[in-house]
Amino acid sequence: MNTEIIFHKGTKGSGVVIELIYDHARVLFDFGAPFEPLAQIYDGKLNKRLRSRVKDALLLEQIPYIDGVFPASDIADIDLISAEDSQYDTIVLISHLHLDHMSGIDLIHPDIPVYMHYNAYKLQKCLEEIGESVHYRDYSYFEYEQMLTIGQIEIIPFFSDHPCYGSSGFLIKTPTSTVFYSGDIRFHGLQSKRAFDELTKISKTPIDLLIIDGTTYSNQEFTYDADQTLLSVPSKKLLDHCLSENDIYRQLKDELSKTTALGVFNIYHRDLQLITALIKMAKSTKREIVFEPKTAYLVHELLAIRPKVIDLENNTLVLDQRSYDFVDKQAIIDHPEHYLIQNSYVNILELIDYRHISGIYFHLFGEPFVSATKEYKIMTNVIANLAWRFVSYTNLYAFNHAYPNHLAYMIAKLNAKTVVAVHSRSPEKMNPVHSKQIFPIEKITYLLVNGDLIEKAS
Amino acid sequence: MSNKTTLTFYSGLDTIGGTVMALSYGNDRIIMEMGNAYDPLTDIYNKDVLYRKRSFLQDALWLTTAPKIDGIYAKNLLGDSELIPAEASNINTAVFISHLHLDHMCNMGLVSPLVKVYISQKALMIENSLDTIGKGIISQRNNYDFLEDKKPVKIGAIQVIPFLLNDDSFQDYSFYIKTPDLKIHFTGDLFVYGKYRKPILREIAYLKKENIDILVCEGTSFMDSIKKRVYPNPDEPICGTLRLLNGLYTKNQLDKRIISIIKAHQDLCFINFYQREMSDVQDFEAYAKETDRCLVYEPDTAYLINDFFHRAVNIYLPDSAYYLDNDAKWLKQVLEYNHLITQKELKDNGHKYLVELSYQNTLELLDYIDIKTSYLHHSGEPLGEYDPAFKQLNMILKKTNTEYINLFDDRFFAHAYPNQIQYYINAIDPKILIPVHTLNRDRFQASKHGKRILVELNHSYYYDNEELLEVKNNEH
Repeated sequence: MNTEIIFHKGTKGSGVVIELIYDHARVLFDFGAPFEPLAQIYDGKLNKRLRSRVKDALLLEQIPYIDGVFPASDIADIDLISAEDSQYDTIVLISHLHLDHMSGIDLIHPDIPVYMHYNAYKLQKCLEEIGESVHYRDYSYFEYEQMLTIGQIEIIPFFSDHPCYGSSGFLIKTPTSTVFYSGDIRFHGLQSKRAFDELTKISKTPIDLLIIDGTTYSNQEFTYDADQTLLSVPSKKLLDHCLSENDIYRQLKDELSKTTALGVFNIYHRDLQLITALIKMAKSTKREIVFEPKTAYLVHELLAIRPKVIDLENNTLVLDQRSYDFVDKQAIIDHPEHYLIQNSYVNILELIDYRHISGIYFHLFGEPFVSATKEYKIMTNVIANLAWRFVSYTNLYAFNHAYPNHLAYMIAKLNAKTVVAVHSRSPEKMNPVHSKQIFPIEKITYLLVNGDLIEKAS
Repeated sequence: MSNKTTLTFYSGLDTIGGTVMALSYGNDRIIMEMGNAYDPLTDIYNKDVLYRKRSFLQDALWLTTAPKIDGIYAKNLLGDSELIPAEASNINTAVFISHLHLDHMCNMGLVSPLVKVYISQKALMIENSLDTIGKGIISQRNNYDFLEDKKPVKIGAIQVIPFLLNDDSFQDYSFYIKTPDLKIHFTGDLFVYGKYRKPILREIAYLKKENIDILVCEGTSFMDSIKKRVYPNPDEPICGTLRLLNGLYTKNQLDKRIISIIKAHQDLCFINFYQREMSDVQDFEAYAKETDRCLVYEPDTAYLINDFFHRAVNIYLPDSAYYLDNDAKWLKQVLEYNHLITQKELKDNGHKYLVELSYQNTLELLDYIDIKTSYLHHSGEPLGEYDPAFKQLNMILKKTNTEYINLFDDRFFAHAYPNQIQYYINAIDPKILIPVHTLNRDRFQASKHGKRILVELNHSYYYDNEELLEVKNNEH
């Protein structure tokens, strides 16, 4: 009996969905739609349908056609085997809660367990509370290095240094093969040492197939102006002109220390690690960090911190006054030099209330992500009209994803027989070091034999 | 300048829509229209960003989507704005709205209840229905005064004579204004097709006789994409004539074309028109009758029709939380009062129906993937490639194998064509022509005895001895 593997999505970009089967057991890892900010179907005008949400997600290619995953009542007349009629025992593993890895999880049949790290699980619960995720089903959780099994498939989750709370990679073993899926990963974050240490742990198990996050191979996601050849040389070193996460906080601190202007930041609040660092950094500049109510809720629930909160005119979340310190807008206007406040794009109109004071706006990887979008232009126009300074980081993806030389180091260290780059528009730019690089075709069933992918006869 | 009429434009000179013009004499003032030019590429409220109800006016003033005019807004909404609130103003002001398109009236609800706003009663009826279904404008007022055809409205020394140009739907008006020293006409949107033609010809004859001083004229169709339909050769001069040139359709020809398209299709036809246009509803009902089909509406439109025409219609229920997860009274009323057509019926007997499908419900097409369907695009958003939603629409049509048919075929445009506008100008022969509501003010030509003046925003002008002169700061 062979292990079978199907790459449903993610070989040419984000939105990774991979299926691994052994006998009657099956693991799906990650379940998100591709991140395409310039071609979003739900543009804010188009109504999302309620009863047809699974069917629409399939037809609109938001989720792949996979037999045995969706409820019979939801797939309507679509030619798919329902979860009820599936021949497999299935579980779904979610590496982290960025939408391109998990946007479809609530469409999965409620009887199929969907696992994520305990921190991600707690975050998911909070997202449901604040209305960022609709509660359609329950989820399961794991801890790092705590084995999960489904049939004869064993899964060991490992810590991954990605800013999203509770990020993981998965070592997946069947009786015939071992696969490691990195999830989204980086080695220049604040937990760089731990990330490299995890590699040492993982490398103790011989790996047949390494499936690695290759985001930074693409010029659209990461540009490097210095010597390009250095990028493919395996090393733990942070190359010149590559910023570490810490470099960004140092720059922020620097900027905030030399101004009396109001500090404003825009983040993606699922990235709790970034929030933790900002809280620390604000303290070192003697500024109060003030969150919007929804983020404050996450901070309070997940980081056990009593945060400072600013009320918003369109706020829809009622917070328990006893657990939060509310800051008056006028106090901020009177003493902008004492504050660093959060502003999400959805609340950008709140900035108009600060039009009479000076400010500095840090776009710290929050929405809108991509400069080519209309929303990004509106955001920069608003900041320009306020006559504030706008600080952003061009290599948006490099904040969250490993630099190519670090990936080469990881590939060398894990020394898998074969390697597949996913989550990248340019997987061919990967240096596979001593491993053999494979370019699987999506939706084809492969037999995993000694690390190689052999197309299964139909 | 108390003995002279002054004229100030706050917006809408070089945009399609959003024309706001104030005309003052002594302590009296009228403001023509309270809209804003809509651009889907820059509209901040287009996606995730929601209106701030409390600060809406302050935001709109800062975003320049509402005009900065003293004495028309309520103090409690102005916040720390430097504008003089309506309560503190000694100017006797009234606002006039020509019709219910958003680029002419979306800000009328921001005007203080202390200031009179004149609008057609039918338009207000539709706006109130839109408000009930959650699609109305932001408003802090419910007191409006109504326009009546040719019944003069006096705002102190200023007299406004509304000309009714179309009695259907929400009605369209233009305004002829007389002050002690000035005769000026404001076109609103200028249409000459179909039922507009006779009133416009009457208007021309009247204004010609009046020997007016100033004509403030809209020029939507001067934009490249429309002008080239009339004049494919860009160098060809615009000649004043009411005739339709280059094979453009009359309204009658358009009606015939639409009927023949529907007749030629034996499949389920979806239609997308501008929901608030009750005259379109009447047109589509005529098309349906002619082609032996039943019209089926979305619940929102059904509510507007129920309110406006006081009669029941066929409806269907799109799969959306907006309808399914909504216990609003209006929706219950619609479901009780109208006749619900099931999806199965539409699928089984598609050739018997014409079904409304607004952009927001386009995903309904995914349920009809297994039958042949056509999408008849009339006047509903997204109107063209300039709107990013048009790309989305095409993507969904392609995915669902739905045939797209542009009913206007690029040969029908509701606004008067450049040659017709020029005819109108030439025939009235005003002493001063002020082009507005256009991307191409330079394409307007003065009439035989007149001058074309390209005014500047936020500058004030007065009329003296057949000249339009700018008010100097110390003359205010």
